[in-house]
Amino acid sequence: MPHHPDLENRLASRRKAAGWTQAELADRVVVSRKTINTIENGVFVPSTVLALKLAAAFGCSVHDLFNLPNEEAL
Amino acid sequence: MLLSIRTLVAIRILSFGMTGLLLIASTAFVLVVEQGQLRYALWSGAFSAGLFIITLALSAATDRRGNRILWDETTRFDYNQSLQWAYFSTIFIIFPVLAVSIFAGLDPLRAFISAALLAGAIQLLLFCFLDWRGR
Repeated sequence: MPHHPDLENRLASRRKAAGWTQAELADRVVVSRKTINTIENGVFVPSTVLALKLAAAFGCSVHDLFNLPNEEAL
Repeated sequence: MLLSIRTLVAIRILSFGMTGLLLIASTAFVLVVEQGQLRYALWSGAFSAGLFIITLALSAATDRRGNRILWDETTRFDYNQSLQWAYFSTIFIIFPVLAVSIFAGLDPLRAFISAALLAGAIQLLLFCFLDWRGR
């Protein structure tokens, strides 16, 4: 299910660093502001496609936005 | 784009909520009125058809990009979650309660119609709540 308590995301900090509001980021990746809000709050885990779109919007890799702690141990 | 996404979402939440409440009212009507008036439960079909038309109209009221936002993955997730909860609450709560009610004397026809109406109402109201939450 989209909720994954172990997933760490840096979407909010990246967005703020870019000087965008949630609505502006949502507009760039063509989703609702709710989707951005729920991803940032860890309520919703985006699909691979949306994660790639978010990474493209910031010009970084998906791993720069989302990661699992202790990935090497998995 | 005729209407803003925000307005379209508000209409969607309102229409799903209103239809859910109408189905609850239909259930109460079926359980309370005389046996000969059960045909009025068919109004629930009209309410559902109305919701279908509103849903199509919402999509028609915006362009392709607007539709992608209107029916984005969070919305689809909320919808699927409402289906899931409605399914399990029907199986584990509504059916047992109505089965006991039938054994206690409730007319089976009323019980079956009520179960169908309630299952639909729960799904619509849950989607209304989940869609509204977090906006």
